[in-house]
Amino acid sequence: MKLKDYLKELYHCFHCHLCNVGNWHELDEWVSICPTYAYFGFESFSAAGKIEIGRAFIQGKIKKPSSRMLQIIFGDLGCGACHSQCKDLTGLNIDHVEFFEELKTKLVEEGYGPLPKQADYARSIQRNHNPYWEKHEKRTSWLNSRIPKGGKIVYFVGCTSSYRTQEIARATVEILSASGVEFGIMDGEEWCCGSPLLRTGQRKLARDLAKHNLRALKDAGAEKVIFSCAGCYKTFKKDYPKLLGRTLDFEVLHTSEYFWNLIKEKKLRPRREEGIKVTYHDPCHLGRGTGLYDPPRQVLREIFGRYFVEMKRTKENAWCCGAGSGVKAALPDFAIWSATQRLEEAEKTGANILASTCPFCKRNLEDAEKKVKKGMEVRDLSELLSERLT
Amino acid sequence: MKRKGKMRRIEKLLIDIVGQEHVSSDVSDLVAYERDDQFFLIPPHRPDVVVRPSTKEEIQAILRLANKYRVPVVPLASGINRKGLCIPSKGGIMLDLRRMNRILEINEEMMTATIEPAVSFGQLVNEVRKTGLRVITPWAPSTASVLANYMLRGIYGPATRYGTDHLISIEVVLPNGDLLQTGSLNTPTTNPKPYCNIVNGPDLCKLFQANPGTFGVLTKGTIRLYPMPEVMKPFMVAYPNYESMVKPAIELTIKDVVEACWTMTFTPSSLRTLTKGSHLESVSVQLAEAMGSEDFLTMWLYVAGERERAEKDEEIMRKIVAESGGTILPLPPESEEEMIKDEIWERTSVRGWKKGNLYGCSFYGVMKLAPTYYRVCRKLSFKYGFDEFHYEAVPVAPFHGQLSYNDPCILWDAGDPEQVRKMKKLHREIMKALLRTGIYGWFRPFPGVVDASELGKYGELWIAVKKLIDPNNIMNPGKPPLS
Ligand code: SF4
Ligand code: SF4
Repeated sequence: MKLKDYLKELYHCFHCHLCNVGNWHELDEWVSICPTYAYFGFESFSAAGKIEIGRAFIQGKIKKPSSRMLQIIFGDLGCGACHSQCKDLTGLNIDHVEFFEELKTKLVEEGYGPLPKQADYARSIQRNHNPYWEKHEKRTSWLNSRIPKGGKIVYFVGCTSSYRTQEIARATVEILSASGVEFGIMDGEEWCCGSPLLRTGQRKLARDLAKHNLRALKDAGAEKVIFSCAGCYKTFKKDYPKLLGRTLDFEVLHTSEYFWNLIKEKKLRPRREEGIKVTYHDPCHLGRGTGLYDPPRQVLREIFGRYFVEMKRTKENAWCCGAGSGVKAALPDFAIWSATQRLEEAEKTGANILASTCPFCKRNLEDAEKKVKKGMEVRDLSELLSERLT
Repeated sequence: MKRKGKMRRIEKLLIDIVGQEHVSSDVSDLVAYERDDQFFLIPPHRPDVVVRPSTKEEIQAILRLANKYRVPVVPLASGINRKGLCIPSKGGIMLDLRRMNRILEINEEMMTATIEPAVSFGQLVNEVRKTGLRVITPWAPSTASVLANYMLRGIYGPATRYGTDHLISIEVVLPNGDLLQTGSLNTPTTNPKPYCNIVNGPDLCKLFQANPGTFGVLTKGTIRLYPMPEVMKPFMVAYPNYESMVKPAIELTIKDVVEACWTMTFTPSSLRTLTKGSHLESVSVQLAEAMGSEDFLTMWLYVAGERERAEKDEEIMRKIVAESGGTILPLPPESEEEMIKDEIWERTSVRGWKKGNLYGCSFYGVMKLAPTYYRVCRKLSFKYGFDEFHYEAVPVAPFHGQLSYNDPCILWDAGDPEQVRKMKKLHREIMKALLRTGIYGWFRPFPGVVDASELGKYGELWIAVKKLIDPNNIMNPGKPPLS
């Protein structure tokens, strides 16, 4: 949907502000849910405010966006918490996240934005195929065993696990190997999926990446592609088909659902863990982004049984870790604040471990933990599982 | 240019008061306030600057400044600017009070809460529940401000038993920056308290009520809380016509056997839209098909109280319903649960906007006349091609004069210019027709609805009082009494 086509629908936002609060009927508690509004406080940082900014921009009432406007729009997390509250109750029929991305894309097309750090990582992606200014040749430096290239089942590692949270990549490989599944990786043929670009309006370059990755996976004979990164997973599952106007030739699976299938098929038999309390953070791209809520929980329950506990804000009501949509790069203080809120919530459950299923969430939550020292262990599901394989 | 220079100077002075991080004149911060759901009647307009104070001292300083420079001030409590009330039609300062969201006291013994203006119903219910007390919540999402709603006299789920008067006393900054407290806080006694309004002369709190930010800025208020009932049971009763529903509604109210009594009608299309995505969706679709072009008439009742009383009330209620030809409908458990949650802290009333926009022209009238009001409004709605029509009439305590809140609602789409054009005409016709039929008056002083110049001596006095309190007309100009 083109940006201007949203205009008619935007009049249906009537500023009820349900999108700022979790579903209190369901949670039986009054809790914030929109991190940008909770942190920055101005109406413009709420979903309703961003909708009005978008409306004014479409109507030409804002001709030249100010740096403040760029901070508001490109500082949006795209977490979708607002949409999850708004969609069933009101008559505003838009997907808020898609609208915000469309707005960002239009702004970039017209020469405004993204924020400097977001433009910077785009340059790195162009040059190195990753947003971290790391050398492409080092993409598989995390590997400590030989894995074949390509094949029917491919593990798409993603930039963050390739360069920053390599323990997730290693744990994933360990689990897949233990299950006896034959799988491969893409080596140097794996490029950034484009998620950091899509979330910040830099769609053109993202399209090139999508084309490359799909061609490479086709050449590799992939029938099933597995992702340990929630961002890559959503990008392949939801964005690539839209971006390229076609369905993918292979099945797209997140490791949590793949692992759960392997457990059900008895190809994996994790050891039961008693006494360690673990809670789970829904990554926005995985949960609200693609509707995958249960498989990670099923795996955690399989390992931790009754010691798996939920936080107050879960699933559709989950609080974003604060890292997504290029926010960690562009507004690091805000990203850490948001993650700290989550750590505090996890702490309230009495959990020792805060698990997630996204390297980017892990990284931000870990950075916050280093700062506030709550004593919370932040782990990825793959790590927890790989350490308990029998 | 002159105005711009003046506003720039004022912005600097505002920054001195609250700090740079709480002031903005950036267009992206301002557009968020320029429009609300009534934009078809009240044209969008931006403020010049938004400021976010957090203390009464800051508000006093801001109003002194605004008064000195004759700059309009539009206070906004929780951000749900509706029906044009917070549109800064003359620009000026948008006083966004959302940082003033502190619950200052919940007094279980006195059954009161003292709160700041941005405390929302949800926030308050969350805390008050812990004491076994209850906040009377409006038929509006709990994101609304308690004080703004009570000041403007909302309509509440249990209005049939508890009425609309839940505010005891307030603290308000007057346009010249002076601070006024109403009620018992003024008594020259040791340690005065805010829990009583009927002392020392007229209740000045009432003077400020139903003035939409036009007399000053509220900084805190003390409200009434009520015991949380041990039992709460919702019922949905179907009736063949409006007349047969009104008689039992009156009897149930007079006998005080229900805390809520909502008589409602739905055209088949409005029923479909309103229940879309809810637990009642499939039932409603069947119902709408069976109805043909007939409206669905239903009365929502809540029996509530201590167990023994609730059981007795239910018995009487069932008898009254049976004698009047009503049929109690079976409720799916999820719907029952949702209705109870709505009664305690409300979330789902925004379904009224399912079509995109909701037109309402709420007013107070005589309960026995509800069927006439309904027919008049329905006919006009259909005349303009709006078939998603829904009507509600609620007996309100105290029930003298058969006081009832009435709301003809139309589900429509303000994104369609043709509908906007029609709606403007329809609005005027509905108002005229209702005045001809005989109503008590309009629910709230909405611009485009209430015009003090049409209210005779009362209107003149209202305007005179406004001029006395706000001689420079800085407070929310363009809103009643001065439109
Ligand atoms: S985005 Fe949806 S929930 Fe938020 S204010 Fe607008 S209509 Fe309400
Ligand atoms: S996407 Fe997330 S951060 Fe953005 S407005 Fe919605 S809830 Fe707030």
